[in-house]
Amino acid sequence: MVDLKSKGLPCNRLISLDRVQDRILKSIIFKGRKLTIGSAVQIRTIESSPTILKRAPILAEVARTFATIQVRNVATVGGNLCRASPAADFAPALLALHAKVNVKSSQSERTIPMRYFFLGPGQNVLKPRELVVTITADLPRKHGGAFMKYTSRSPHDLASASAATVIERDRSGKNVQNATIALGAVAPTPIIAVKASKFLEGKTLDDDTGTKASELAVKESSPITDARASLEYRKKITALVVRRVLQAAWERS
Amino acid sequence: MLAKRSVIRITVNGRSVEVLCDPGSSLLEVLRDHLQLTGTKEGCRSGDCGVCTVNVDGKAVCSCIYLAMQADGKRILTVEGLASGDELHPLQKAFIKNGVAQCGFCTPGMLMSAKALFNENVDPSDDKIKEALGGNLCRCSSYQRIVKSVREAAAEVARK
Repeated sequence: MVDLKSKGLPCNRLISLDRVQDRILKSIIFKGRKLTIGSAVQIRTIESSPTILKRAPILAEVARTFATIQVRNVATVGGNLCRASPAADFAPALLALHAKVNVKSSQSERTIPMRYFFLGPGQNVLKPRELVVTITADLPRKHGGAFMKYTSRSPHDLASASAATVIERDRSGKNVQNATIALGAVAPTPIIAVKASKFLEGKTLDDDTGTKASELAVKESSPITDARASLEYRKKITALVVRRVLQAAWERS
Repeated sequence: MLAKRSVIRITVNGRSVEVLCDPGSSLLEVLRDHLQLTGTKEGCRSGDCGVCTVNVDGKAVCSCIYLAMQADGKRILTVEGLASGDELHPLQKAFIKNGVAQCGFCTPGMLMSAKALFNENVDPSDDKIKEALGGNLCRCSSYQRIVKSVREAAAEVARK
């Protein structure tokens, strides 16, 4: 819509999904540990959903700092992902949750893991006439999640750098069993920092390991200089947001 | 290639209207150009500044990037619909009393975001007020007067 109205993008056919009858598009369903979010669920709904707040609070955390209230009332999760901005707010959290995108066309259905969904800035893997129906994630039984974005002025801005992480502790509770760190706005697409994530396995989270993990994450990023921040500054704030989300997720886990 | 025009049926400020419009029209264009409700302003055309804020089914929405077709069947409230006949809304009274409007361009949008807030929260804290108005920019810097006005209006609404 912004491209249409603000940049005058030419458009021969515009299709709205507003009237599609299938209720799954607007549903938030928890079945056991499996979360299903319809692609047409508004950000504002995610922000205030009691079940999301209870079972997947990282997504409510993303929704709370997503653009402005006016935008949240209309924008959808599916829209955020399909737009495929490298800074897409929901991408890092959904990557950290190892979410999957369920796609339908008149001919076929397929499921795409989040980490294969983005091809480049503004580019996703959808083929013509494919529709994102739902996003699903298997939530770990006991986990802590956190999302943080760094912006020039206010949360309404696009992220200069963002990070999300989901941490599960091992049985002793002292060490990380699994951690996934995902980054936004510091690569051509949202990415998982694989080495940084793996580094934390079997270790406790403290200043030392947290700092090392955030440094590894920065190495896996490939930020650019643009209107919002310089390359060098992005590296610095990537380290900062990774360190902060790790700490927050650890405390919540 | 001319787009085929379509009819939308919307309720605007309590009145049902039918509008024949281009499918690509925004709600803002329909309100201003078809219905002559020019209280809602055009600013950035990209949903950033908030001057085009209206209420759709009670929620704050930027009408510049909201398709008129999407509004079909919905209830729209614009700044023209805030007053009840001759009686101004407490928000309008408070804005006037506190001299909020300098250039006045952000004012309708601010009022509509505040109205949407009142639809959900009759006793908002200052933080909640600022959050609700976070998507509305004011370049004349009336922010403090605006928050004060919304706070006072909330108290008056609660008294009623």
